[in-house]
Amino acid sequence: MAEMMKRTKTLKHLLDGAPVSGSSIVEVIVATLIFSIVFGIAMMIGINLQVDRFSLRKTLYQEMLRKQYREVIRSRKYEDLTTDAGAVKIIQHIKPYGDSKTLLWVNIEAVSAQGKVVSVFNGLIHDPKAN
Amino acid sequence: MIAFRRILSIRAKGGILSFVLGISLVVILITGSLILAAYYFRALNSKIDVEQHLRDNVLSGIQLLLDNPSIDDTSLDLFGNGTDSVGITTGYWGIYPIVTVTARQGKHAERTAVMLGASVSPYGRSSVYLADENVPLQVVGTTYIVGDAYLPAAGIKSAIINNKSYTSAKLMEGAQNRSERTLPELDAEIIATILPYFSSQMAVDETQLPDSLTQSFYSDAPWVYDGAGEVVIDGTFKGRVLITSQRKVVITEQARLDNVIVCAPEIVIADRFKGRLQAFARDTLVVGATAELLFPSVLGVLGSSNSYLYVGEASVVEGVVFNGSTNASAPAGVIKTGFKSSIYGQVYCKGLLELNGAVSGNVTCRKFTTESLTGYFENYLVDASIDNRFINTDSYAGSLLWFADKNRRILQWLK
Repeated sequence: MAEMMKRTKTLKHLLDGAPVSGSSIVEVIVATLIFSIVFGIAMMIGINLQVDRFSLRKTLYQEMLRKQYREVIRSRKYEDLTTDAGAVKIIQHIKPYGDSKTLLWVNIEAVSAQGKVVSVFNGLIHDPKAN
Repeated sequence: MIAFRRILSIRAKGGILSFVLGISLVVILITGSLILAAYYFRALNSKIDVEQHLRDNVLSGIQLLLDNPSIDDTSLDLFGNGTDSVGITTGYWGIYPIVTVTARQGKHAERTAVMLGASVSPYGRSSVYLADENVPLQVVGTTYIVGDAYLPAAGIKSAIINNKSYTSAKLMEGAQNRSERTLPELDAEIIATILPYFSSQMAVDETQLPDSLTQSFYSDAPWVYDGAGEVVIDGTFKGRVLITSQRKVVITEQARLDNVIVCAPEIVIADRFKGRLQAFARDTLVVGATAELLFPSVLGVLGSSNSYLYVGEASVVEGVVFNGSTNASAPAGVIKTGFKSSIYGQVYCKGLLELNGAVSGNVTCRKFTTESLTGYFENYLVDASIDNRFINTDSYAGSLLWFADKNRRILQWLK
């Protein structure tokens, strides 16, 4: 009980605007600094993780599109195609490049469920037997 | 509860502050390095992405070039969106075109150099193209011809030399087509790129042949050594290296050559040499026994009146062997191949070809010859083998000198 009385007295003492001792100010400054730094670092880590997740996903999609391009070269099936790849749809367009009949422009896009193009791949294929 | 209150009532000593600062410093260092690692990872990831994108564009540039080989040095935006610019530079290295494609994005650049060959025309895919000089092709002994052939109107017959007769039931495996009286001429534009190698007016990089040298195909110019007398090559030379002599070049067994051009009036390649080169002689080119010339090697003699090319016994040549010139009235040269020798690719002889070994590919010549104890025979093949299955494929890339069609193929990726 005596302890509680002592604490209340201290709080009242502070609320009344009484000057705090030197060591208390140092404690407050240090605590504020540590809090700011830790908070800042946490924010930065959070942002970094978000960006990394985004760029990792982008790299993943790029590799997916590149794989699709290699498959077009291997199979020599030059046709427009839409395939479902989980979180995205892969849409493949193939058309002649310029005036050439044996050079094909392969455009492959990864499109999210919201209809946003998240990754694009463009490549050319030369095939003397394309036509 | 009482214990908790007791903890609350503990007063830390003044020295605790430095302890707290120390701990904070460690925490900051750990978390800071985590952020730094994440930053570098992201930067690296972005760099890899850009490099991969540039590599894709380089490959597209090469596809563009394969489709349109007449493209000269140029720079273009592949897909018209401003981020896919590629630069193309073209030139010749010996008889083959070389192309460098460079893709750029900001300060990043990726480049690749390739050596191109040509897909072979239907004539070139045949086993034999023998000029029609009203003499039939006569086969003796174990001669073995596989693949369609272009032969004189007199066709193909079996014959006997020194009591040796033809052993097989069929004269050849494949269709017989009629050949023309003359052979196709070698591509004058390509020959014109080789002829300056024989002049002594090239800018020379060294007066002494070093022990070893590597010159990248990305370099602007070849490294050139031009010797006035006999030049002996026994070192290691790789890449865009041109070694010439005004007299003779000897390539020893110890020499290690990769894509090097050697040029001289007379060239001797020693027994057991192994390497990849383009050798152009004006008069004589001799390959010793059991040598191995790797694809896409070239042995060429650009015809004087007695020009002579010999492929030694049990030697293997992968690529192109020719003896001829662009001058239609130039005297005929000779090619002779040793017993058990093998040529994988294309052979062209504007004059006489004495074939004692095997050719896996196409032979185009004016006449076959053979010598025996009883005399000299024209258009006789004795115990020789010609099989076109090696080059009669969609993927084979050959020389652009003769029987080439317009499609280009990648022969080799260069460094």
